[in-house]
Parts: sequence; C-alpha cells; structure tokens
Amino acid sequence: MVPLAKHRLSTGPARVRVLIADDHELIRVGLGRLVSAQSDLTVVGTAADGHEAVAMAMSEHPDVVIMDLSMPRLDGVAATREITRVAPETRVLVLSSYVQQLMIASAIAAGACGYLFKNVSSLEVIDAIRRAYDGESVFSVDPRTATI
Amino acid sequence: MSQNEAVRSDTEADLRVVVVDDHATFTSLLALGLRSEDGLACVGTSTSIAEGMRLVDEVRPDVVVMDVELGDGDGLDATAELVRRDPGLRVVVLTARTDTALMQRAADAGACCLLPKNGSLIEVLHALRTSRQGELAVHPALLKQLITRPSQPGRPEVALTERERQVLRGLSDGLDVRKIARELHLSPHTCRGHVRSVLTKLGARSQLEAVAIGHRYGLIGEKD
Repeated sequence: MVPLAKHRLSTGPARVRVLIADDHELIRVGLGRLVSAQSDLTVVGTAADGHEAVAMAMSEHPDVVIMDLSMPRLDGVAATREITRVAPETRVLVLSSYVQQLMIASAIAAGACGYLFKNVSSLEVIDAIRRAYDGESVFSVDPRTATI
Repeated sequence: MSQNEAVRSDTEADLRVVVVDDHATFTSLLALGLRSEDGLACVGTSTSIAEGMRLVDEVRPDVVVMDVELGDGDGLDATAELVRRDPGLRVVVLTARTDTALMQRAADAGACCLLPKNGSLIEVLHALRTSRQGELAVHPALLKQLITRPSQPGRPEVALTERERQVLRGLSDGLDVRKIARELHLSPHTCRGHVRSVLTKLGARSQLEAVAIGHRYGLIGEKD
C-alpha cells in the first residue's frame, strides 16, 4: 500500500484533484462532469490513452486517477506502473470491464489502490474516489473470488 | 441500477429513451447526459437484456440505446425481438468495433443506427434525434474500420496460428499458462512458447497488453 503524503491528511478546503483516463469519450466527459459537480472534487485532466495519462499525471499531480485498463498505445496496467513510480503519492483506481484475477492481480502489482468493475454506477465511482483519497483500498470485486 | 434512478419527468414532446448496457458506469453516465438535454427524456436504464426487454414493454420508449455484447445475451438478437414486437421502435446500437457480418446483422435486426461506443455524447444525441426506423445509418468511424482494417497504421500484421489464437483466448479468460496448457493438452513449456510467439507477433510487452491488442483487433471477441 502506498503511504499517504502529508498534504492528503490536511482538512483544508482544497478539493481532491482527479484525472480520468479512459478511451471512451462518453466516460471521460460524463464522469468529468459528474466529478466537477461535487464540491469536494475537481477534474485536473482527462486522457484517452496510457501515454496521455502518464503525461497528465506528471504535469497535473492528481490525487486520484481513474484508470481504464484497455486503452490504445499504452495499456492501463503499464500506465499505472509508471504513474505510481513517478508520482507515488497519486492513488490509482482502476475502472475496468475485466473481472479476471490475472487483470486484477496485474493492476494491484502495478500499484493500483483499488479496482472497480464497470457494473458500478457513476455515483459509486464518485464514492470510491473519496475513499481512495482517504487511503482506503477500494474493490467492487473480491480479488479472491474473481474469475480465474 | 434500477430504472427509477434515471427517470425524470418527461413532457409530451420529449423523445423517450431507454438505455440497455451492462456497463453500469457507462449506462448511468449516458442517462445523466440525456437528462440535461432538451427534448430528450431517459425513461429507464437496464444492465441486462432480460430486464431491458421487460422495461421496454413497460415504459414503451421511442428509442432504445442498445449495447451489442451484454452479460446475459446478444444485443442484436434483443434488437430483432424488440422491433418484431414493436415495428415503430427505433434502436440505436453501440458497438466497440464492427465488421460486415455485424453490420448485416444490425440491418437484419431492424436497428436504425450503428455508433462507435467510444464516440461522444453529441454523436449519440444526434443519432437519437435524427435516426429513422427502416434505414440503418452507420457512423463514419465504423465504416472507416472496414475500409482501413487491412492497412491500418500501427496495426500489427497479425498472422496468429489457430493454436496461438486458442492460447490468446485462454489468456483473455484469465487463465494462467499451466491451465491453458492443460486445456489444450500441451506441455507448459510448449504453451509458454506459444505465449511468447503471440506477444512477439502482436508487439505486446505483457500478457495483458496482448489480450488488449487481441480485443482491439477482433482476434478474441468484444471487450470494452
């Protein structure tokens, strides 16, 4: 588990900075609007592939990244590995349609702090962002009982 | 997600829309997007075909937005059944990729529009407002997939053997090499050789990337 940086523990008015990486525009835009509508969250960027996600993470220093796994150019696992290497204080929360153990294990090994299957509603994603920011490991699927 | 989460009060003039897609995140975001649009009313969402069929019977929408591959069945089969029950119903189908066979099936099913699933909300809204029953409109991005598929820039020259395809399918199902070897009656050593070969041919640096590329180019089956 990646330790939380000190600034995360402050209770000031700063909003949680969120980066959304997904090759589906509707997810990026829709989730972006929903996140922006929350008084405690703000979207600092969106990315349509893994390379963009890594670049945005390095330039915008998000607190939480919502990461799709199946993306062009650089997949979500590789992007997660790179982001948690260069910005260990950033929490990466995977949002994927893959429910297989191999995928979940790969994401966790790459440094993801949680894994949401895409059967969760958008409001559950919002809740998960807050929980990830608070240092929780967030899973909508149990890695032990996922498809082998 | 229950239909009530997405329902807003609609007026007589609103185009009434039901969304059927097993990706609840996608479904709820699309419902939210529709909710803020003038002249459109999302009157329900469903993450399964079975529930979606019941929902359409119950709320009688003008348009259904339908995913192709759902957990409990095929969206194009469901489209055919919905149009058979109500010939005036319009069905806009969302798909991650297409080929001529899928396009033909969509036309035969009575869908009125084929859209790329990674497209924008604006494109979905345009299709909802303009598509007509009795004709199939196909988004240019999907047509481009057909035209450019053989020489698409960046696409690996994929020439997987049948055995390599079986191994890739096993990886996609989340199986490890030993399990794939057992299923295919191969030694683990031989199976690892096939995995290495798949990775090399697809230009993948990991098994996950190989699976992602396989899905992207239709070597395995649809996955978003």
